[in-house]
Amino acid sequence: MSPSFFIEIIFCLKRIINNMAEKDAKSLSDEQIVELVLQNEDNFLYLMERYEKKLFWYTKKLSNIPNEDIEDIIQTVFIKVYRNLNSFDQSLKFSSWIYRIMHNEVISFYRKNKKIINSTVDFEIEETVLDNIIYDHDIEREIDQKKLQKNILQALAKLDFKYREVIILKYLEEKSYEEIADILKKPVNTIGTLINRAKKQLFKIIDKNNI
Amino acid sequence: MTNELSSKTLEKIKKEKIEPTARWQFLMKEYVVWVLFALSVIVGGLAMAVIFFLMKVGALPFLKEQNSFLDFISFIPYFWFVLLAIFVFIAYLNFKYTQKGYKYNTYLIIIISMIISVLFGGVIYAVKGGEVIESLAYKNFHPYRKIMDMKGDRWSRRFQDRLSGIVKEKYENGEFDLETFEKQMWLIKMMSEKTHCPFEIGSRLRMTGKVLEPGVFEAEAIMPWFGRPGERPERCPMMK
Repeated sequence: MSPSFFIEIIFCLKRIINNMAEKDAKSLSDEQIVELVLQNEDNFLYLMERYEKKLFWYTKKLSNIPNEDIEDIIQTVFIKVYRNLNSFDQSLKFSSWIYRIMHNEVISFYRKNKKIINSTVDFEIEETVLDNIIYDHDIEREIDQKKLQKNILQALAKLDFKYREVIILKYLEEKSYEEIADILKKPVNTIGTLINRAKKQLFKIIDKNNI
Repeated sequence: MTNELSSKTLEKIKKEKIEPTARWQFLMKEYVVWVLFALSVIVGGLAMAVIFFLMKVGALPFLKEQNSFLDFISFIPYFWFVLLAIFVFIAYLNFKYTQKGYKYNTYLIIIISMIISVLFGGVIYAVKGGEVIESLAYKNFHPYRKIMDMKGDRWSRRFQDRLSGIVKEKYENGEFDLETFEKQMWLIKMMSEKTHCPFEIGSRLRMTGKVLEPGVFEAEAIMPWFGRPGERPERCPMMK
């Protein structure tokens, strides 16, 4: 038997393993799929499908960027992720990494288009999320829950970008402090401070605007 | 919203033949940042070594003398302190750009960079590196030379019995020519053989004594530019 026969067998086995892996991709973790993408670019589709909607709604809540532009940004993010797959630090969560790239792209979109980053946004949030924000605040029992929910919704839209972002990541995207730190590239303690300040500003806006 | 965008993006990746960048390129970038961090800390350490040297022999001895607080203030090596601050800041920036640098507190990074620079500077100072670096800077870096000459000039002007500058010529009878930091030439005569320290052409000296006539100065005590007689016996032994 010639050596080329053995090489062919090895390649066949590799292909079979790849195919099996693709079938199971949906049950794999992001980090495992990253490994598969490096073997076969088609596997990247699984990752993109997982994050397409998440990133869209995250950006929608975060900014007032039009839908078409958000889609362009997401495509840029996916291509950047693909190009930089070999720099992905396995000690991070893949979701933190892709959210970080999205965050950077949103900021650079504002810079390129000279738009005001702190401009108010228009969005809707589920009631449970609002409950979470209220639950974290001392005045929870003092005011009517429903009214407060409505107030928070309006106030959140008026928050400074940096505060709006941490609130969205914490309460809407349900990220941990460590994950938010990895996304925004800041120390965990700073994230704690930012969230506290964000809440203070949020309730200040409610009081000031009497909403 | 459908997953159409994902399919389109995959098509684009295939069509434009986009490839993931090789891992070695990212590793290289990370190593470069670490090397720059190390270099910044090392340069900060060299500045620290000169600070130790100049404070020990240049500034602190004035505190022991009466009416010399102004000399002390003037001889604090601000230039090297600024250089140290700049390189500690550069080290901080480099550390922040490492893959995990963002996880650490700004003050913590600055303090750690400072500590490494101080420790490294201490070692360099201990092997007499501080003085060598200072001399090299004086000879080769014009702006630094100008700063030090201004200090020398200020020291001389504070009292009439002071003169400082660089030895230009030595004569057999022990007299020598001194060019002050404001570029005036003086002939220096010794009041006593006992009070001078050994020096060579090009040495930076300061001295106390009196003006005999315009351009002629009688030196009572001759000291190296840094340190006082007896304090640095290896450079300026007291003649007894």
